[in-house]
Amino acid sequence: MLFNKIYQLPENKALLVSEDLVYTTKDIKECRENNLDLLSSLNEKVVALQFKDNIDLAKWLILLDGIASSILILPFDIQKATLELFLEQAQCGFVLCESTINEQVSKGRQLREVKTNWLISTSGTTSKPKLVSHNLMSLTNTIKVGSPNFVWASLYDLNRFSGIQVFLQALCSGNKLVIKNGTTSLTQTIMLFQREKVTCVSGTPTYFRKLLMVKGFSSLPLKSISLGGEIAEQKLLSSLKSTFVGAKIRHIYASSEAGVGFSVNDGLAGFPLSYLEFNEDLPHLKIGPEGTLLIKSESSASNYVNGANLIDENGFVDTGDLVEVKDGRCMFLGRASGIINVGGNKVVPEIIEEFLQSIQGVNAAKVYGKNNSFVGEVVCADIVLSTSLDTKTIRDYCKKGLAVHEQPVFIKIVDELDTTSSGKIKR
Amino acid sequence: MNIENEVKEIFMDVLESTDKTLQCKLTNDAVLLDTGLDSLGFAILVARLDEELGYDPFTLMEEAVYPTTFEEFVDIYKTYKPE
Repeated sequence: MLFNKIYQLPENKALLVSEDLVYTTKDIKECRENNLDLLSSLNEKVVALQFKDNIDLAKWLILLDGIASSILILPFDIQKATLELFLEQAQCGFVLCESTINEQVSKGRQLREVKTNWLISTSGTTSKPKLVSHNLMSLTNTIKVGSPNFVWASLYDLNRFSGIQVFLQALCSGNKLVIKNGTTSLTQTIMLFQREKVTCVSGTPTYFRKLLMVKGFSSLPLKSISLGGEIAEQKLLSSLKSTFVGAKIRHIYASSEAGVGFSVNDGLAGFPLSYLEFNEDLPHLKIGPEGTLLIKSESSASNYVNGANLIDENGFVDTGDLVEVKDGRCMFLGRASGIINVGGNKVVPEIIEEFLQSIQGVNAAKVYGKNNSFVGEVVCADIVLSTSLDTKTIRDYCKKGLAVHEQPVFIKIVDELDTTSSGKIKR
Repeated sequence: MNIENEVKEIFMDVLESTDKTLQCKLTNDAVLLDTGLDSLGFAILVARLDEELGYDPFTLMEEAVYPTTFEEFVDIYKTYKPE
């Protein structure tokens, strides 16, 4: 159980830190002692967790792993219909939150240790959110224990798969985890990271592009930077590399469906072709007939909770991510489901986004389709600038570098791109 | 700017952005298909006009009307201009 992983750590070791709270090993142990009755009444039951502050969720994850038969991890802002669906799918009758902590108390029962299922909601950026079942073993089997002096910070919400990965990475290495609340602004986030001397940051490329524009980010003593959840393009990787000289920069490929994927550490976008050959350190990868990446992994979630089968007859999961072999590397193109159809020509939004982001002065771009009465859809782009640039100049670049059907018909300069709670561009 | 001039301006802009050149003078009786703009060009023109003028007459039509000349094209925009 997760609690055992922290049991041996020094009593005064700060494990979880937010703007206004610190939980040491001792605090967590005391919290367990103080809540034995509650834990006992939740023993071997399915418990949903819904907390506004990530740090509370983190605490209860530590306390309930090995106690509850399943933990259903709910986003705080979940829609009512989705909540009801998830509770039904997980056969869960109790939601632990601020207001219910004092309910469900029975006394005097001996705690029985169980193997807890972690039910995590997929981000639902491209489809309806689904529940995927994991356990502590499947979530931690690729974690490499790092230096004890590392201080981790996650830009992800803890109720998401990627957020849980960072949480477990820190905890299993006995490191401090700095947790921001959902409402924390970018500037406050950087101040918190500076105060706690964060050395390892994990987040989406979209989030890092924003951070690079915030004063103070570049002075953090970062030793390790992990990007995940979206395609990490070369310009961003190079920019992080030159800002944080000597830091280890890796981009992680993982999806809730496939469990842990793999990471790329050579500072280059995409991944080496050798990953497509059999390698015992990596999940088995291949390119499917539709050009999407198929992945076979020990840690693949065994199935969707609602019973939909994830795995083909050979044990592969279709990730739905389009890939292409180019100049000796396998490059990510984008989501197969996100393709824009311009009069029969297929346009992958992420490819156009990468092109736009390669233009000097463009910080971030979101590309999407807009219905059109003549050709079905046309390409549109929302762009965040880092320096002053007009749309005419951007159009000129597009004319030189993109096919006519790929060029954004509408270019809108915006202050920022909407992101989901998992830090990805909202699509 | 009146609708006709606005259409003309964006028409030329789209022509340029799609690497085409005007094949005939853009007079009222100019045949659209002979102007040099291809079908994607028209789609872009309609999309850009939608952004500039705030409406797309081709989605507002109950029955599809396909303009032949430049004048007919502009007339459609005049007819469907929101009150």
